[in-house]
Amino acid sequence: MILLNRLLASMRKRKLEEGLDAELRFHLEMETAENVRRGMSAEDARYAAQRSFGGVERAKEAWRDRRFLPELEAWVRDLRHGARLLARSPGFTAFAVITLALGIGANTAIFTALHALVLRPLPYGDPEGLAAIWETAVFRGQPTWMSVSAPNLLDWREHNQVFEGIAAFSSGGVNLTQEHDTLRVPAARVEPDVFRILRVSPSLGRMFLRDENEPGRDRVAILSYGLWQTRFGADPNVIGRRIGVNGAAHLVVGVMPRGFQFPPRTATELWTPLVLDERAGSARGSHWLAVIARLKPGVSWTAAQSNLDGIARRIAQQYGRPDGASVEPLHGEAVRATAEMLSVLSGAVGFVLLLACANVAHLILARTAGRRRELALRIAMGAGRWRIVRLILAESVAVAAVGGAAGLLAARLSLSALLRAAGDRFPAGVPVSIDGATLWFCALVTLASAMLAGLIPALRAGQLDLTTALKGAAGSTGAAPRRRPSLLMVCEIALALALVIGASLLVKSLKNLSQADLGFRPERVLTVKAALPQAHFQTGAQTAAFYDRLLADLRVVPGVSRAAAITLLPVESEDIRSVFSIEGRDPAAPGNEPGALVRIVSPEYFEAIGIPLLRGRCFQEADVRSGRLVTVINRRVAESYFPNQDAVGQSIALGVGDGRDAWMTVVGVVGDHWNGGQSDPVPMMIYTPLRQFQWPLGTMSLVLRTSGEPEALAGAARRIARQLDPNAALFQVRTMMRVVSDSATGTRLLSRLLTLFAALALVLAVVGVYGVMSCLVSQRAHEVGVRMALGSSRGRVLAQLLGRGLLNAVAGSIVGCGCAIMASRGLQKFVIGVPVIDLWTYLLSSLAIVAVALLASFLPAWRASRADPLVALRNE
Amino acid sequence: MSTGERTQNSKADVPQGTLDLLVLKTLETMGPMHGWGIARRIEQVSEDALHMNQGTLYPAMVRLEQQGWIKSRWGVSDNNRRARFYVLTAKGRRQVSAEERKWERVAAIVARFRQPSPEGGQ
Repeated sequence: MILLNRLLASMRKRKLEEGLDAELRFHLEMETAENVRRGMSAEDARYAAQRSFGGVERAKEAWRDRRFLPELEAWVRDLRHGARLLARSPGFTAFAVITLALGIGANTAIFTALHALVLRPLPYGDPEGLAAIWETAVFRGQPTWMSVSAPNLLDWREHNQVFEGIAAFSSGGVNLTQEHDTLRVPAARVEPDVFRILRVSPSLGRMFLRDENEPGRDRVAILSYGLWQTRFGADPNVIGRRIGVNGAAHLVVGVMPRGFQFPPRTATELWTPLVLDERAGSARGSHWLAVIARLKPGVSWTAAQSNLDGIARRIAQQYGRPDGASVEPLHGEAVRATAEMLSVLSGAVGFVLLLACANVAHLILARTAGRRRELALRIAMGAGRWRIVRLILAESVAVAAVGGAAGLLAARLSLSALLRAAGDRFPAGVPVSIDGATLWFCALVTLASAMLAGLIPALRAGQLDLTTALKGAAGSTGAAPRRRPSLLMVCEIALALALVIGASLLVKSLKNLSQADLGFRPERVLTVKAALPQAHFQTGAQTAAFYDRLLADLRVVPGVSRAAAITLLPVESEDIRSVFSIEGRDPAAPGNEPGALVRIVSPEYFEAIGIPLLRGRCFQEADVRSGRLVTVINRRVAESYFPNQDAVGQSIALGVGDGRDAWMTVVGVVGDHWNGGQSDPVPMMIYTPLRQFQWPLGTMSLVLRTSGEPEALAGAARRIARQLDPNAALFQVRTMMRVVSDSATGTRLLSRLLTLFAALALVLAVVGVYGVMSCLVSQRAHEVGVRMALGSSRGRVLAQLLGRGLLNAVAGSIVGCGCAIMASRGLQKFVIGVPVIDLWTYLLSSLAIVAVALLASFLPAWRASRADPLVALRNE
Repeated sequence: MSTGERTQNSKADVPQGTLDLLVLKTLETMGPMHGWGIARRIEQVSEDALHMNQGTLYPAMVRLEQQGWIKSRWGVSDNNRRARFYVLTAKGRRQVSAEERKWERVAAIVARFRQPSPEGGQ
């Protein structure tokens, strides 16, 4: 408050000073008049008045120190001085400002995204108490997380003492039919308690009632604000309307407020009640639910975890199941993927900023060296060391302030480009914009940059050695003799190298991706997702019959040569392994069972996608449920589990122990394929025929091999599907090439940005090295002159100076490799098909950066070696 | 100023921190006053026993004003001159009584030490 008062006072300084003058004049006149009244002569009276007043100037000075902010004014004065100096050397200023603007801008942009998408609390009531609960299991020694089975959920709900509420949900799309139009919308089935646990309420209508999770009462739906706006024209009377969800009429009971998202960070548009005792979903081994909970007030996360552990142990004893449970804050769970990507970017832009600061620091250092006499004079005339430090710091503060403002602008401009490039790697529907937090961050980063860039030069100037500086000896700089590597240069090379290595790894990943042997032929293949309304498809036979007809109709469309369907396309697949048993073998130890990804396919699938048949046969039309159950495995399964024998003719079954399905005979072995950036890039695969699958399937992907342009067929496919069932939805039309490329969006985004940052870093490093070497050379001009006068050859001088550059470059490379190794953990997720610590990448990047550093050192060194020794010596 | 022994007639310096209280107390009893008036008043009440450079009053007034204990406005003095008058605020009034209580406590403690101890100390 007082500070503000003083700040405001500083702004009307003149007026206040005038007031003080008048006041003091009045005081002295009154005192003089009083003294005259006491009988003094006019002159004596004036002197006496002044005596009893004390020093007028001293009083004024003391008054000013209280009234205003003298320290601030000194800063302002120094800043003005700094700004004037900067204006006098526009080249230096422009370079320093642009450098810092790029660094600060990049950091601000990434922080804006980080703040909006990761740091900000989830938009629910009291979000700190919200938890996500998963089941855990150990698979081949690796702890893995699983969805939750309904019986385990019920046990947790009944026996825990730490949660106010636990509720399950399951997300996926639904077919929404309005009039004659069916579209696929992202949806979630939720237990009615979910909204109560989140502490949110609809903006129109009501939440689900407690008993609306019972079969028969569950035909109700809640709309998102967005869906209400776009598909229902924001109709205020939408409550009570009937809409078709998966082919069944549902009553609209509520509309959620704008910006509401659940599951967090997803663009879910519709919610329906989750019914727990659906189909096979009630088995303890059937893991299909996601679970949220709210902690009771005052319960810690560790207490919650140990309470769940206790319940899991009881379940394990009672039912002989290895399932564990793990609870964590919902927030952490919701933002994990985004956080992983943004933390890599934060690290990269942090490096760029450090590099920019190092560069500016060096520029200021060089300028300060040129001002040594002036500074020494100031000290000699009584300026304190702190005053000198402040003088230099003011310069870096002035540069950083302009750089920060430009950086903010740059952040604003680049943010939308960043968001566009990120595509669906960033959660949809979360506003990302520059706000108060961003401004604070930008201001802090600017201040930190000013300190980083200015502190070393300022402190060094503060330690200036007066005598030598005033004598103007060119030999010593007040800095220690430079026999050790230049710290700034080493830092710059190290930072640039770390970024170059990171970028190279990602570029190499992408190159691998485009050249990788995918194991299938994605050219001229169109994929379309199809979703059938559950209400009309109760059995596997019905699903199979629909796809038989759909695929048969598609096959006669001109341009289609093969048409097939699969549950999940290669590359986009999630990593959910199923365990299986092999007939005639002892059951494997729990946690060590054979496992593979399971896909359900229509007969022509392998031909359509282009996976070669290696042995036996593919599926045929005759493989129906009433016949012998058959399966096709890929080469990895065959080689891993049937080495040295023919896999064809063996029998396997999904599941183990009591939960084992019926035996299936292996009729064929097909080629392996590459599966995108998953933990297991070339997965083990088990394929089973669609016609032998007994349950209805929600969505499948159609795979159409075409002879012409694949995109042209999407309309025909949609028309045929609608004729077969108006409630069926066809969506996500993509060529297979696009599917492959989409699977690497994250890697591609990171690789683009990191390449950009690395290029920036490289330029900064080159300029920095050039600057350091120029400075070094000019400091040693005298020494070089003496050497040459004593008969040293130009070549030797050149070699010696380059040697110093090389020393710095090599030291920088070693430190940079260290940095890169430390930072490599963050990249793990995004580097595909290359080890994160890839020897060749490290070696080549280091060599490249050493070469670049030497090149940057060459010009200054060469100039020094050409210099006339007489000129250098005459400067003495 | 020497900190050694003082004769009865030498003036005492204004002790650190008491100037604030003297000013506030003056304004409390006398109402709005200008700087010179305050300085005169302090000297008179102390019967010229206090030595104070009148100039030190003005930085003190700034501090009191910044604390919100006094306010100032321009007015006209008895001899028809423009002068800055200082007025005690409500907050200043509370400060006076708080300060007074503090002084009384301190004075009481000091007084207790000045009485010869009953155990017959020196």
